[in-house]
Amino acid sequence: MLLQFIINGIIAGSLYSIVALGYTLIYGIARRINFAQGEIYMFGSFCFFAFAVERSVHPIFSCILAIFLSAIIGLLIERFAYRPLQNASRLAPLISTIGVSIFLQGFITFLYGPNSKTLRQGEVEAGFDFFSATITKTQIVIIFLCIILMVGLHLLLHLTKFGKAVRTTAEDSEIAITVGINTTRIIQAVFAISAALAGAAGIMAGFNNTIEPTMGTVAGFKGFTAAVLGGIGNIIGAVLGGFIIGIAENLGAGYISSEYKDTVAFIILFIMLLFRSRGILGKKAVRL
Amino acid sequence: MKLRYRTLNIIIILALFSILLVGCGKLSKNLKFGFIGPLTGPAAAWGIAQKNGIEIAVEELNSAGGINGRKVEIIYEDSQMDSNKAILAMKKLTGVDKVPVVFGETASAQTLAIAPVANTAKVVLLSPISSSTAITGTGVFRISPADNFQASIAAKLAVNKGYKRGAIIYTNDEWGKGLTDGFKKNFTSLGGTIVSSDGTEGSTRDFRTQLTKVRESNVDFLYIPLHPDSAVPVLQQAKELGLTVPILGTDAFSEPTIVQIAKKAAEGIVYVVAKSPSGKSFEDFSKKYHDKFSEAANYNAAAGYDAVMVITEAIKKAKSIKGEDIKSALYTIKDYSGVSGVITFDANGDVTSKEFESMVIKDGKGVSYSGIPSSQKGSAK
Repeated sequence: MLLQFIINGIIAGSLYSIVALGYTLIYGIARRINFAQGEIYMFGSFCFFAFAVERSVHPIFSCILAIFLSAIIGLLIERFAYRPLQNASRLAPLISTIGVSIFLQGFITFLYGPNSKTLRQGEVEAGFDFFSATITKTQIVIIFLCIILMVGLHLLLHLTKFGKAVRTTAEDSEIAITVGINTTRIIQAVFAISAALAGAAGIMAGFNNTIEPTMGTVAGFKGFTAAVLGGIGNIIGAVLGGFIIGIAENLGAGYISSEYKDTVAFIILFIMLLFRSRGILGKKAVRL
Repeated sequence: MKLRYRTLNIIIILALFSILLVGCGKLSKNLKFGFIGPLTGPAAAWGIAQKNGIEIAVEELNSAGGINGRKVEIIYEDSQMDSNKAILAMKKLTGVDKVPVVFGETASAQTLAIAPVANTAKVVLLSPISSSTAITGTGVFRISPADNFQASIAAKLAVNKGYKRGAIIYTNDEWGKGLTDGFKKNFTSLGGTIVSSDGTEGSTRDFRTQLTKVRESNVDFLYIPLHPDSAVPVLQQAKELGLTVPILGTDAFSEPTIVQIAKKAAEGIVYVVAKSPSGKSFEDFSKKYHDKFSEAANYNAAAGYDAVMVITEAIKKAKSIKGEDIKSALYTIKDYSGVSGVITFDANGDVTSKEFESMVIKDGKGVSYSGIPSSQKGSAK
């Protein structure tokens, strides 16, 4: 049972990690929280639904299109909900992104109705045994893809010139400007990458579960919690936070009570904030 | 000072007007009833269906000369599924319009909210479709059976199939808890054991850990009082995890989306639903409904229609239009054959005579299940 709980936790956790990466990237570079992250996750899965299921576009193309459209949404959020408020109070962009999330959820509900849909084309397949636990092909692919995305993001940030520019902007945007980095472009790119990650996570989640217009709310909260738990602004922290929350909530549901499944994540966050408010891997002096 | 006089004047004028209005009510010979329900907002579809059903009933009554020679008139109040609005509407209907009978509410939370107002005003409150177990004993009459009736049938079904040990995964709300408690009580009193019952949030879509527990706990069946959007992932994930125990469903399975999404994973699921209205009276009603509103009549509309007709029956019996007299006459109604089913009230005002049937999903469709007699009456345990 324990192994199955942990596997269930890793599957959920890998998706939380990807959403958390989006939060942490944007926070790292713009020092702002983009609360529409969860809704982009939902938007990505519905885009895939619109192409692959409704219009029978090839799944790979649908996937690319959906991720591309998610990135566009990220750019639009940057342009209309973040940039005009860049110099306003720190709360302003936070509230404007909450506005975007309400809009996205309402818009998709308007188009597709409130009921669940599925991205799976065929029947549900039984999983195969892995020691004393069961895991499905889809889930293995999800975990594998999540790891590729995480490693890819890490390499992008550490091995490319673009990555260096992102890290410089995150470190100190004024210095970045003085050395000739176009920080506006960098911020745009980071919003797009974060949104693309969320969209990709949403599609994967859609294969593992059902999709519905409200699916982003919980995913967004869990991702945000994971990002804060790991130390917001820290990439590896976000991944760690995602897995910790995924595993902890499944162990909590398994051994304590399933009614407290969602609560477990927030209890962990609460304890973390009490004793180590910068998160597991957060920098000592987080600028606020 | 000037302002005060003006305010006073306005109050006096308003007071005079309201006297006039109340006077109008007394002058008109129409028999007035109230209706409270969501006519706009998220639950509007339910409220409007009932309103349409009520309109057909009123039309029929009035074209036949009304009740005891008095035409019937319904005052419709929109609650928007908001308890505060429902209470205000109830106060208006009892205080200003002085109706003896109110039809409503729709969602159980609002029915519970307005029940005390109805009781204080000694007005009959008859809810066409609220089904929460919590309403039992609050003085509300209803056309639809309480959830625990459905649970008692499901428990009997489980026992008849020879199940001894069961697990439950439910949605932690009024409905899910009502069914779970009802099922537990009935199943254990019939000699069974419920090994575990896991409550979940309505937004839960990942049930793998709960299902893992079920898989390891060596039970004969799993009962799932979950809303359709949660039931689908349970079916899918049960299959993925290789869970082989039979799953018992609720009336949520009459929602066609479950089979559409879960496909083969829903195959063979047995569930209990209130018998869908059928027979000649329902066909006649459907035809009238379709002619008037050009859409198909559903259970909610039939329940609205029946609510008016049952009250008519009670008034004729009571030979009075006082709330208390109508109330005591309602208890004497036995096996009234309504459009939505047979109606008999117990001491709590719960309908005990509605029939249930067990269904099984076969080739993507719910068909009558022959594991137990196809229809049974619920018991009020």
